[in-house]
Amino acid sequence: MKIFVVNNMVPFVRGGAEELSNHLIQQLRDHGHRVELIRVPFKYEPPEQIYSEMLACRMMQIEDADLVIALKFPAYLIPHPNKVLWLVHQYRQAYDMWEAGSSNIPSTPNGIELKRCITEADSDCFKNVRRMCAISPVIQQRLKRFNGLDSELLRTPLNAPEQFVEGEYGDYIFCGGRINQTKRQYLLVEAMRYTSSKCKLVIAGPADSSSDGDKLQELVQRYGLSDRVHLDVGFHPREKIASWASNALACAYLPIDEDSLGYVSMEANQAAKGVLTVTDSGGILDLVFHDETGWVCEPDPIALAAQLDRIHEKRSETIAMGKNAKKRWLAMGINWANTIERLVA
Amino acid sequence: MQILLATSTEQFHNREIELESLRDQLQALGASTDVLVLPFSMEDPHVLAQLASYRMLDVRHFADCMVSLSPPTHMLRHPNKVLTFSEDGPQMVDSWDRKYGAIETKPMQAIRNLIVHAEQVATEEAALGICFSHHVARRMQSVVNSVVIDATNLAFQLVGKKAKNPRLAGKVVA
Repeated sequence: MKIFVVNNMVPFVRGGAEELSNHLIQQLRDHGHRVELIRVPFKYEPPEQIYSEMLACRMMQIEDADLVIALKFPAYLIPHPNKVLWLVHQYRQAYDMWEAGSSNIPSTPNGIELKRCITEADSDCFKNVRRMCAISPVIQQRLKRFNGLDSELLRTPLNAPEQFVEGEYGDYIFCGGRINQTKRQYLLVEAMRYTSSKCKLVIAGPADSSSDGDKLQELVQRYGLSDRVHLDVGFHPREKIASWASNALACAYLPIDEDSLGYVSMEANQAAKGVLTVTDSGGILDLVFHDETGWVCEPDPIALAAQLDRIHEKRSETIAMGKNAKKRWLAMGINWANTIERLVA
Repeated sequence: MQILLATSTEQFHNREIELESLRDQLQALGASTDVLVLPFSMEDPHVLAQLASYRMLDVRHFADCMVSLSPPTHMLRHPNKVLTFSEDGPQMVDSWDRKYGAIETKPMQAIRNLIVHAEQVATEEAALGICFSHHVARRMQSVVNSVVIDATNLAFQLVGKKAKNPRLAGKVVA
């Protein structure tokens, strides 16, 4: 089958969606399909530019494809009679972020008109796709609420799962992923000052801005935690991240209201590690069940400190939790083979 | 230096290896690169709308330089746009002629005329044309400031560094 994967791009910016599309292409090719990637540049400032981008996508033509798999707004507006939507992003600033007052679309008559056009273009596109899948329940709910549409849940699989193995269960808790305010690594550092055990914390990943990394470093210094908190800010090879996760005692991930299960928590479970998270972390809570596959507490340094001590002091319970997490994760059947089968069905 | 490499599905199959090689060479020379790939179909009722769609995308602020590697990405707008013209049909109108040149109805002629005009505008606004043959360079020199180089030296030309083989390093023809 000849397949086009359609995504948009902000040139020189790479994130989870780019990683997803690259792995999707590789997996489709591994399953014997001929695949090409379309990358449409997207510029959402000023907001009025979005009209041109939507129209441009609707005027484009894809020739000679048996199937199109589209991931994001506005690239998913490119027409094709056999299009499957695997929705990573709508333009949230026209939906929930508009309601939350955190949209770049102004609350003016022109802004309201733009918002209406985006919603209408989306709804019109969604009605004509052959299949509508969403990567998380949150995205499904958003689609239902704002566009009145049902969709299938098709979660993003873990990439290169073979790199994440059940290692040595060392003496540290590992927190990977991008470093920024919404991922709340600072909350873990603050919690470490209240711990009574000798537990250690490793935080490693790229900082969104230099100030994000500096703030974390400053906290470690201020609380005198240098001997127990290891900060490694930067972009690390995947092998290194996998090694940290594979040899940790447990992992921690505390994002604010994340849509998906989170690569960090999926990688932890693949490596047979329980995950420490908090009650408002969103989609992670579909994977982390308190006292079964990890630890869920309030997003508060003292509550987190109690869990960190418990993870460290009740080592055999922690290891058992990790093994159970892996068992449940594998039973969910979220892998590339199943995903490709559903996308091309 | 950030360089955006632009290509289309029209000739992507033929040029994928070439594109990857160029990207690697540019990175080795210290440039940051990213690649955009846009769909394109030569089906006649849609050609003009698709050309318009390329003009509507705004890539002006994304990179220091944008390199069009296959038509019709030369329709994209950028203040430092570099066009590459390969040996076999440097422009979209050549593809059109290969597919529809024998169909001489008025609507088809009108579409062809509009393609020629659109290409003229998009080519004239480019900062530089890079040609891989003297034949193509002679054809392009009245439209855009062009150099002729060996394709293997494209990366050196783009980052303004001296090529390993000066004989093929780039000769200004216009």
